[in-house]
Amino acid sequence: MISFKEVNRKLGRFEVKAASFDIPEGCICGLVGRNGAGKTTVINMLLGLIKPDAGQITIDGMDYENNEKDIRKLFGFVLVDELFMQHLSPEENGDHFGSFYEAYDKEEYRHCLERFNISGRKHFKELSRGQKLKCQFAFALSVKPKYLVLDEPTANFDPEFREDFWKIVQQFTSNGINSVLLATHLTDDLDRMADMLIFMDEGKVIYNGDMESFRQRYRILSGEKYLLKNIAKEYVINIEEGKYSSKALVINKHGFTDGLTDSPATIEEFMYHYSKRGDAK
Amino acid sequence: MIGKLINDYICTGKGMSLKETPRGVGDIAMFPLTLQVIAIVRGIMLGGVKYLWTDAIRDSIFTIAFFIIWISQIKHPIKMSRMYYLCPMNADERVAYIKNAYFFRCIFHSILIVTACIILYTVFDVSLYSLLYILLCGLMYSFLSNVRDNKTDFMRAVFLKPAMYISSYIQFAVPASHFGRDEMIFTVCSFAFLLIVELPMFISVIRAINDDIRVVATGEDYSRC
Repeated sequence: MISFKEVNRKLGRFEVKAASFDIPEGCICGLVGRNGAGKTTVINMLLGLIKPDAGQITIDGMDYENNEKDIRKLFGFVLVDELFMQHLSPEENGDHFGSFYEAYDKEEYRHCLERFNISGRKHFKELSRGQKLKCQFAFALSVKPKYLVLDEPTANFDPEFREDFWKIVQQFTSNGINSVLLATHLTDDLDRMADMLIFMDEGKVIYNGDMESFRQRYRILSGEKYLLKNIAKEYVINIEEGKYSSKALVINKHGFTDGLTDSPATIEEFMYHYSKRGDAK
Repeated sequence: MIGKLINDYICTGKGMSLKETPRGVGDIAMFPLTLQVIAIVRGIMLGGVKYLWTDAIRDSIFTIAFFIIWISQIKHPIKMSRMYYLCPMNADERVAYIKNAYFFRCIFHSILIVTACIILYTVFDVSLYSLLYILLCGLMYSFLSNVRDNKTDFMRAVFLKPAMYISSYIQFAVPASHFGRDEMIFTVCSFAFLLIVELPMFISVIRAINDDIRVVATGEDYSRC
């Protein structure tokens, strides 16, 4: 299990404040938030690239201070940065960096490259952005990690591959041990696939929990404006007034849905209303 | 391991433009300035002595060896790409990896210097003392690297390189006959310069390089971002 407890990290004016969450085994966890919400900082801390100023990060009960090498063996990753050497081919890069991993499977890597239609012999720098990410994804899978950490890779994938990507991710977690942390802005896919959600805003974790609880907790109510305005303010995150009908994102409480249409909020709706909130609760 | 280090050397060199390297452009500008100084030194010491084509070949061999090392040092600073921090290694293993990469470069540089010395000694007229001086100076030169944070040591490294290059050049460029009976004084002065000026600066730079290796290996760079 990945565990963040009251983790703080200041980077210039930006600060991740008291981030706490757990990612259990066998789940697909979405990490969402606006640009600059702190997703990449959290991922960098999780991967031990930056140290927290305060708080504790443990991975399967281990911390970077004492078990750095053992922790790193557990991670496969696709990051926004281009991690591979530009003047080596994907195959050479795989073999070069794979030699640091005991579990690196050369055949699996080549098989993945083939499956993703990547030429293993071109220079890495000659590949498109999407192909580069696919290469790193192939490498991440071939080191047989327990945790896959993916920082916004899906936006650069073509729709055809995106389906394949989700199949692979589901297959990866199907053993009930492996988990995936995926930071993305493509929330439709997460709505369908994610088991867990971490929503960040301005460096704070606003929501962390399973998707079922998220859907129960955050509801979209639509209907007459006056009915929405009758709802106690502490339950309302945002009301958007329309010409004919209005919509509100509320923290679900029974008893105020009379005359209103109630549906679970999608991640996108939640993000939209949260960003427009007035007196957010 | 050697394969990894060769890949690392080739790729970091190819992948890094001089503009990206820490203070690389300023450092590379020192090379033509150094050649300028050499031209002046030659003019002062050997004004009127004919510059033969054999002299040109000899100077070129020497200059090319030093220039390749100069560029190599700029293009291969003590640095690790982000991917290495993500691979399963602890800080000690990263220190070992960076040190191996550094020594790999130094050995490559040393081979260039030794080759140049062998050619100078066997083909051209260079005295044994001069050869010894060039060899010592060249080997120290091979171990230099661009220092990152410590400005004093960076400046030392920047000025040590031209100093070593010029003082080595003088050893063979000025024929022994030019000094007559003063050759021993010239040799003593040269070695005194090596021991009193160059060696302490060299030791200081090596210490700074050692500090850099530790900083890079622990990833303190990323933590500071």
